[in-house]
Amino acid sequence: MEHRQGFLGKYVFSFDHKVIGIQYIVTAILMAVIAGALAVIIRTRLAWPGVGAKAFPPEAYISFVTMHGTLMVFFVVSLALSGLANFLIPLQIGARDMAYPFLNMLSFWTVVPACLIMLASFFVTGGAAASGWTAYPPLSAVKEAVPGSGLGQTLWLLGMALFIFSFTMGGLNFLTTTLNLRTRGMTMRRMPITVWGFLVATVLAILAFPPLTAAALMLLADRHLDTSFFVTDMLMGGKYRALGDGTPLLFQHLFWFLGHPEVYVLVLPCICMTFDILPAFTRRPIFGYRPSVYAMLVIGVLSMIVWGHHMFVTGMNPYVGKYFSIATVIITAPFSILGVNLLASLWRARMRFATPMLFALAVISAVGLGGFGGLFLGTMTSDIYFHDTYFVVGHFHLMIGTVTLLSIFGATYFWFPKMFGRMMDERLGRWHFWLTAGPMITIFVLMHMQGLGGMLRRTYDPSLYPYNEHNSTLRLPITLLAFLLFLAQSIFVWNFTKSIFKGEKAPANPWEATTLEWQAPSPPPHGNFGEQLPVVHRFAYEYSPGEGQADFVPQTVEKTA
Amino acid sequence: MTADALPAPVRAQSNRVLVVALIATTAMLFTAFAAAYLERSGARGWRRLDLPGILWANTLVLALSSVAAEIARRSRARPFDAVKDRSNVASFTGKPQGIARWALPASVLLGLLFLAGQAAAWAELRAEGVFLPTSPYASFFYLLTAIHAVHVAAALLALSVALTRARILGLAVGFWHFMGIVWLYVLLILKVLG
Repeated sequence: MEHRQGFLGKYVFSFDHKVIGIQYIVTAILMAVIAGALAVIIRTRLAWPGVGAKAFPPEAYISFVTMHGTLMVFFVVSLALSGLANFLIPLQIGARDMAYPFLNMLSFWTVVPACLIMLASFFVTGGAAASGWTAYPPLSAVKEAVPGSGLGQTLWLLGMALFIFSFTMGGLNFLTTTLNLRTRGMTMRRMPITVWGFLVATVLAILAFPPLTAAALMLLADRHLDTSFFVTDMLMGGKYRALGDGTPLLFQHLFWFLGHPEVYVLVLPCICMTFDILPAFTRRPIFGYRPSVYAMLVIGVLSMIVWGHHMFVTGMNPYVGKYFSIATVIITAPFSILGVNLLASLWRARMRFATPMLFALAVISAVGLGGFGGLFLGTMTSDIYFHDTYFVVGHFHLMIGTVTLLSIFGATYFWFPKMFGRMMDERLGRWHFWLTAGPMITIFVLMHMQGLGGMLRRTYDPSLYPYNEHNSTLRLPITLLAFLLFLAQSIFVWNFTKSIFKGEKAPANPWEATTLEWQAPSPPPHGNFGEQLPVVHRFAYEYSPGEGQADFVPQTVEKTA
Repeated sequence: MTADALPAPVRAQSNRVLVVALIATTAMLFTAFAAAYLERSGARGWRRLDLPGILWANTLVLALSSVAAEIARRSRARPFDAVKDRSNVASFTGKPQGIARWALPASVLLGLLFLAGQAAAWAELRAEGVFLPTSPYASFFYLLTAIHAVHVAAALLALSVALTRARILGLAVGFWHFMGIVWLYVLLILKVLG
């Protein structure tokens, strides 16, 4: 196997999936600092609406909300997951690298300019895009609508186009690698469940992103080539503007056709990584491997036909709404299987409370809380009341904020020894856990409460509306918790950076786990497994197999008669 | 670099999965456009246009190109149908004999002719004063044909690479057939639906 030499080849334009994975993760951490800072600014505004109103007008507020959402969904969680997928898939299936290493390098270096374009859009005339992370027209389609609808929105579309291109290239690699490069004995049913999670997520992404690409192309044509796919005649600033007969709602359909599967693209791998962390600390096999895999496949199919539940308040035909309600509530069944299996994996556990395990346990709570709120939003009758309130903000932050981030943190603590050959600091990890999971879950549960009280979302100054007053008491506590949450992340950044250089040396298998990546050295060399690829002889989670036997049996151990 | 470290059958199988995934993602793109078209055609201000007659000639050219590509593919694949060892297809570099030698270059040329024909169709519409923003139907016509043309150009690139690298021939031809099917789909949308 050829080794590329020199700094550029080894750390910058590397073809090695492990280096690319770490590059993705570091990029995600950098973007998270910016996106988190935006959240802090937003919360400051909501707690003290009158303060500094001149320096921070409503236009800037919606622009910051837009960019917070965009960066968090696409450039933090998606990138971190791309990184973990890059790092884990070849190691867990026993491959030397991705099927197309060059394509892999290209997909990372396509997302870097996308990040830079998104960040640059803060500094152009009018500021960054201000039409929400969903980019609804007409705000996104009419250049003069708000300041952010100008160059900022164009850059947003450009950045997203590059992101989709990169994500698709990455997905093609994950798919071909998982299906074709598994080592001898690694059947689909012996794969660690994380690989299943990434597989389902990849297929969803490959099928669901094109409609957003189509929508983005039509939006660009509306903005720059005078077509009228989405724009319609309207009054703007008191003046009548003849823009055509387009249908803004069409964009919402195309967007949510991606948007809903995207939720599962993010959440399924996270739940699966949690499944993968649990057995090393419960010393039990995970509960219900096969039902979980089947449940994920069902969720994948269903997730593509329920997008309308994001649009109940658009005046859709009630019969259509009824269909979307029923289809959405059906997802509860397979999703509950996943949740219950997570919980049942703790049954008769011999717990070891290391940091990754703490995060995994918190993920289980967040899945339960977030999933419960989803019931009320999936049903049209209750959603019409909740839709424009903080209930929705709380709900989706619990699912695609808390579940994903807690699980990504857990995964980072868990696989860090494999990435860098050193352990992360356990004491700092615990501090980070309590100061992250605590505030995070509290903040978003409190937002559900605000929503129940009818507090409107997308509001720059909630004190302007008298009916918001009765639930104003929670605004300040939430903001203070948000400050705490943001500051606590410095513990993680410090721990991560320090441990790369000064952490305690890690053995090959510090958690005494069974899957293939732990049978390779820490960190694995180029090509991962030395001369001979490992051969797999058994299921991925053989812990405590029986009386008088070893505590755990790695997948590479041959079966004795 | 590690590309060469993979055994040929694994590489061939990966390529096959890659092309299937590419076809799936492209199909979803055009499905989304079709859905948008259907929705839009029910709204106010919808009026169809007469499309240039040259589109039918282009359709024929594209069909002939597909046939030529298929001839090229079969002329190279034949020895393996005999031995029934499909896992070895990737390593086969046998040269086709007789007229089949010209099938692949002919297919590429016909593909280029198709693109030229599409450009002629756009020129004809522009000469009639029909531009992208003229009407919603015109917008969809230009958008669908242009996106299709971009994909055709990419597929032609793959076919041209297959001129010298025989092992990707089957996949390039497969994607090329898919481009023909998408073109029929675009025509179906534009002529029949809405």
